[in-house]
Amino acid sequence: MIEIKGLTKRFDKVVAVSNLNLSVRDGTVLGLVGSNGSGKSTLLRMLAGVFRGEEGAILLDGQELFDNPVAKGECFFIPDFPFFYNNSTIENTATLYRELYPHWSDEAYMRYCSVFPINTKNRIINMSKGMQRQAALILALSTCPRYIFLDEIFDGLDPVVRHLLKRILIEHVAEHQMTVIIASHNLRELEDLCDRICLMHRGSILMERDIDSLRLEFRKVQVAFREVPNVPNLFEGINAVSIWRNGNVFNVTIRGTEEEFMPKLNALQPAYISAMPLTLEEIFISEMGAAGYDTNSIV
Amino acid sequence: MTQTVSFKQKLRQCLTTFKWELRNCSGALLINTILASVAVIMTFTICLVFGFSAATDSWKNSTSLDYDSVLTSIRFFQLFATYMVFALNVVFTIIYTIRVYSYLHNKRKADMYCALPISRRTFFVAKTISAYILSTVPTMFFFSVIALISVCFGQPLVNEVSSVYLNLFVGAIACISFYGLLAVCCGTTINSVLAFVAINFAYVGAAWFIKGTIMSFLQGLPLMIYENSFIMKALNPLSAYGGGNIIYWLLFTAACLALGIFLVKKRRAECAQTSFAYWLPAYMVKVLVAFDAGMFLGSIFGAIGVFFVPFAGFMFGFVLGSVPAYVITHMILYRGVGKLFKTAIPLGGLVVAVAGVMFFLSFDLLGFNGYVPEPVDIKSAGVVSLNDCYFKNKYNAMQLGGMASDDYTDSKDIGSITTFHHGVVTSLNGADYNPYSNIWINMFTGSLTSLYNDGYVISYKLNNGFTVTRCYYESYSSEFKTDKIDGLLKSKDYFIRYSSLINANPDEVYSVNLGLVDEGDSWSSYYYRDYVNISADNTNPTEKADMQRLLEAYRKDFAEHGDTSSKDKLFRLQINYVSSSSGSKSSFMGELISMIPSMSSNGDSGFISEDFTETLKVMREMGVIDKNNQFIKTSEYYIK
Repeated sequence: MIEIKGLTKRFDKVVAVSNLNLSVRDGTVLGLVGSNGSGKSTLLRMLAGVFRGEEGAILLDGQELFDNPVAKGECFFIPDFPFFYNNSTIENTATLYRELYPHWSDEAYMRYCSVFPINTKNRIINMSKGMQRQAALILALSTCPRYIFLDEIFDGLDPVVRHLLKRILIEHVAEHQMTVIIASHNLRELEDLCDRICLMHRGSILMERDIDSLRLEFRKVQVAFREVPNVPNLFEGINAVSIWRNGNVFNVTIRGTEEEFMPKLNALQPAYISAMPLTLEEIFISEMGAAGYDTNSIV
Repeated sequence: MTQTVSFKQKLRQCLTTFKWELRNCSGALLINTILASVAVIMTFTICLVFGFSAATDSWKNSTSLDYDSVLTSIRFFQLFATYMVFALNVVFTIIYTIRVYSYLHNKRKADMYCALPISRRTFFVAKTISAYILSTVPTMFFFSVIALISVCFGQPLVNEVSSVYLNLFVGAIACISFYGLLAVCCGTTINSVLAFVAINFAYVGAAWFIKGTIMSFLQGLPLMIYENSFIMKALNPLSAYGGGNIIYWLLFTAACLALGIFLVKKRRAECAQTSFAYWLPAYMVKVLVAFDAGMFLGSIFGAIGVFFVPFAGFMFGFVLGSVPAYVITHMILYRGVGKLFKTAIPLGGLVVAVAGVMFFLSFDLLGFNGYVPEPVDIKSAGVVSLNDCYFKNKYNAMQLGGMASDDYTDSKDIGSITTFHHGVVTSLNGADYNPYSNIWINMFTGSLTSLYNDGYVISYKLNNGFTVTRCYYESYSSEFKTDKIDGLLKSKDYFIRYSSLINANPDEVYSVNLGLVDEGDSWSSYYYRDYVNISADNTNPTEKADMQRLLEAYRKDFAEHGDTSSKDKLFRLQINYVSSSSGSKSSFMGELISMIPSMSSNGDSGFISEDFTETLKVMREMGVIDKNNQFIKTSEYYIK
């Protein structure tokens, strides 16, 4: 289990992560989403032991993580731009990890080398971005980590490999109770993979929820009127996160269950009404808008 | 709670890291090996061809092959091949070292390495040891090959080559450790390299300026004690390659390594690709460079008397040199002027400190320059002329003073010495003396010993137990009147205590010449007349023994009879020697010069009279002179 307690990280005067508290149970796939510069990558680097927070602590199964080789032997971090030497191949890099990671499995290595369509003897530096990610994934998964931290891992992967990766990760989680934390802007991919979502903004957590409950929590409602009621605040009493009007048609994003808001909307006698669940991207945009980070405030 | 890693596991991690470094440096290692192999084979081939050519040439004129020519060529092979491999080592040490520590200066590398399950300290140690091994082991291998080839030809290692082994090892580990420490403190590789180069050279410059200033202002201070001391090159590990101060460099290496290990754990990985992780090297570089630039202009402005007051001129020059140097260095290290004012406090401190010290020195507020002890306070005293003192290359001025301080206890002799001392002080403190103009000269005094051979060491043992020593060098502008001490310097006791002829170690003497004394005793006439030469380098095995027997006899006679009056002189005896501690024979040039003994600059001479019966007896036994004290022209030592 990962416990983050009151974690703060500053870069000179910039606060990248501010008093962050989070717990991640074993076997969870947590998606880290947030605006640019919200602290996702910094948080992942602190989880991997690359950075150290100025305040607070990160505990891995109760152990302090920073500069703790035993705890770090259970983790693997793939950054957004993995580093490889000019002459590195998967094979020779594997020799380093084989001896440093306690759970390295040659069996797993052979398996992933055959699963991912990549030549292990070629220089990694000469490969495409997607191939380099695959190389990093082969090495990461061969260390059989209990915790894996992935930063923008879907970047550059083709749909087939993305699908393959998701399948492998889900298998690992199911079989070995591996915990996965993925920072990504690709919300569509996270939606398929994650159990939980953590939304970050300006170094803090705006929201951290099960993805299923999150989907249930928000509804996108389309309401059409023959004649718009002449009332000062049409959707008063409804927890409307955003309202967009096009003539007599309103698109309203509402936080709450249908049981809560449908009676109130029906009372307005609309000509047509329909409610649909939100995609993760829509939830992200509406929540970020509520936090003051929307297109109107940026443009 | 944190689980710990056992020592055995740490060793395994170190070994893994080393293998990883070996793999990553394999390209550079291969190039190093190829170049070193070519250098060794090329040098061996050339030397051997020349050696055998000389040997076979001599064969045409004699009945046997001159194997000595081959041995000489093997000696040259040793020297040239060793130095070529040494030079390659320095180049590749730079490459390996920069590469090994680059993980601290690249964000992507930091992401990879800092996430590995190995503690930062263990990783740093493993990286450092890898750099040690990669830079020294291949070179040691080639040195061993050179040694093996030489030994196979029957030529043991010359001193020069055997000392290079140790120097290279000490130099490499000192430089790597120092660079490692700087790499931990700096955020970029370029800053680490700049800091390494700047500190190495700026420190030596600063030490020279301080030495030159102190010697100019505190006249007679026996500062030569620091000449070969680690203090002059304390932050210049490159000088460790030159040998000397081995204990200091080992301690320096250990200290750099320990500090690096301490700091690397606390180092913020995000400092990669920023200017500095710790500010200390930045301050060191800026302050040292500013000091050097300030002293450079200050000493010039002080010497030419800007503002009519040397001190004012110096300070103007110091500020004019140091402030721009500080700003420019800051801009180079920080890629701009950001944080310039925030980090300018050391510059202010430097200017104030230098102003304070120079004010004290300029106006001699401590009264050092005029101090001569009162004869009543002196228990014993001594004076040594550096011109013909055998020990000047063996001991520093302070040690010489210690030797001499007990020489004279008689009040008349003490009075002569203090009078001479007063004369020296008066001549040096003349009204037109501007110490600023001597800073540059004094910076290099000692390094240019041939130019500063003349001078006097005066030493007193006071009644209160303290010893006061002063060392004054003569120059073209300041010659001292020695009439008061001439009697002391020409006495038999003085000659026995300090002359090379009496004190030179027999092993250091490589030739003895005996010449007839001409009227007027001129050197030129001596050389053009017939004479006898006995040389230790000659192939005649009895020659060295003869030479030592002759010297021993002469020393015995001299102790009994002392110097001879001019009318009694029969022969002039001259020795040539290489002082074992002067360093001349332990350097490459010294080694070459020692092959041509006549080029050695150390020599001393004395006269043989009829009273020197032991000496004359030995000369006769050697077959050099007959019973009428005439050279036997058929003697193997005789040269016309």
